[in-house]
Amino acid sequence: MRDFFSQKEVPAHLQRYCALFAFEKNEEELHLGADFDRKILNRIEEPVVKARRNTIRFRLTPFYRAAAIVAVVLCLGLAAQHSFQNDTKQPGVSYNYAGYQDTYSDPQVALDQVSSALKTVSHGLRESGLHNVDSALVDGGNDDKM
Amino acid sequence: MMTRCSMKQMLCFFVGMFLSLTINAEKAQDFVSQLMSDLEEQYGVDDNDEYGCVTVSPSMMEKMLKMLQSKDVKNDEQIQRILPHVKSMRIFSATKHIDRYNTAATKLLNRNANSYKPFKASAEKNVDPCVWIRKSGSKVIEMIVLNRKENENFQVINITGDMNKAFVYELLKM
Repeated sequence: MRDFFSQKEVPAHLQRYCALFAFEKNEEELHLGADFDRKILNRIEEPVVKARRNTIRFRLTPFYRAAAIVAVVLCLGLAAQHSFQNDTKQPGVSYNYAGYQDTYSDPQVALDQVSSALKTVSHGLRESGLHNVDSALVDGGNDDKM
Repeated sequence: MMTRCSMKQMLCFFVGMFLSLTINAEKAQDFVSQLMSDLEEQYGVDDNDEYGCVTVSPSMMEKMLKMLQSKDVKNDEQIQRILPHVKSMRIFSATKHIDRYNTAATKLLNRNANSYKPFKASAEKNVDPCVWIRKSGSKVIEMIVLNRKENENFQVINITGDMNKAFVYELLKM
């Protein structure tokens, strides 16, 4: 059949099958290139690993990352604490009690002193014209807290 | 290289932020501490020399409160209601150079007018203020009472804490 269809003269009603046999013939003529083996071998050969010297900066990269994460967490924590303090505590002002040295070691003596001082404060408030809490004016305006 | 640089920049940025927040949250000095620092600078005098300072720290306040709670004395009920509002107390007192110390205290209060405001219970009353307060937000966190007895002594009572209406209410009953 191959020989039949490879003839130049083929009946008209069989002409359409000529292309099929021509294709098969062409495919048979295809072969691997001369450099095929070399290309494949090049691809499957193990790559050569070269030793690289790591610099201190490169070695410290994980440390930088860890420090950055810690800094981010601290900043977020502080920011959150700051915003909570705005509502509940004293924003911005906190006293340094660490330097306080008690004058008295006996709580009873300290209490007597504090009581006496509080009486003076009470007197001072009355002198300022405060006789009941609701009349308290600070800076000319009513204040809920005092 | 680019990634490493940007990471270092980020690190510097966050460290900077952290430091700025830390500086921002710097501890404040109470009025009596400021006054004594001023006096030492101006006149070179210090505690035990011409004036005295009594300090009751927050830890002593707690001890006092515990002591009061363990006692069963009826008269102490009022002070028991006041003390939780008081965190610390400092009392500056002088028997010499009363005018000098009174002036120094008043000047310091006026110099720090942003922090300390005179407490006026009545807008009409025209008297020299003897009670000053420091507020933080809407809370009174420090109270200063200037108590001068002519030719006898001069006292500055400095209270820190959380002073609200309940505190003043109890204080006025003393």
